[in-house]
Amino acid sequence: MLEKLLREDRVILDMQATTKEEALRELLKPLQFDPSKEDIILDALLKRESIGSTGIGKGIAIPHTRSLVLDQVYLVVGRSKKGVDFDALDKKPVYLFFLLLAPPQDPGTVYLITLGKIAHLSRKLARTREYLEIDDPKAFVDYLLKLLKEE
Amino acid sequence: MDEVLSKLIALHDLDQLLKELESPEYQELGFEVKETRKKELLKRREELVRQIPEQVYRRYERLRKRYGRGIAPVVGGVCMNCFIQLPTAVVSGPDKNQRLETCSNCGIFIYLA
Repeated sequence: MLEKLLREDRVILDMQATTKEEALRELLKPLQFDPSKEDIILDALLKRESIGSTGIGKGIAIPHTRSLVLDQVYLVVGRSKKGVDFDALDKKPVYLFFLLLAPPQDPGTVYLITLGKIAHLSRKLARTREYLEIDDPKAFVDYLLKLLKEE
Repeated sequence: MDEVLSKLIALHDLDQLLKELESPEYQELGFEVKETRKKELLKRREELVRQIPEQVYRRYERLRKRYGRGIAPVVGGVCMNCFIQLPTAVVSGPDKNQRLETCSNCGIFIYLA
């Protein structure tokens, strides 16, 4: 499922955000929701962040939420070369983001399974930080797919 | 979008978040959840509820007890709570989501996706 969600047009390799809210807004942009919908999703993401950061440490964050206004599961991958203060668990800047959004109900609990897979993938990514060196969206997706296949 | 509708959606999303935080499947993922912050979220829920007309909120809670949710999306003209096709006039008018509507079959508040 994660493989199907990874799309070149939903990869941002030069994030400009410097704050948590800016980062979330920037990650929502490729999905081109209308403004009222985007505000509702951003609000839900910020509420989730308010109870504990989804910055899991080692430079990676997995912001996520469900919302009634979503019709399917969406994934956006973002990278910031300068890093974002995301209030991560280890208090260090976040360089890589996986934004996962889902509708209220999804068959087969795709959302939770995908969250688990992203967390697993993040542990692999944190080992080498090669993701900081790739500057082409297609190559970036291919790199993530390669890591996903490695066991 | 109708203001009350957007508040109901925010309330629905918040209720779902609070419910999901309690689920063992979510807890297994190991994301940080601070218990004290959860109380703050409950206070924000109260603030949100104050912005919703009382009769609308009472109905939302009644529906939530009955169906597990007070508002449901309508996808392709079908209410995702009762799976009944809704009249075209309701689902495809120019004022989509500009008024708070309910499903003519199950009575749940609806959001036209």
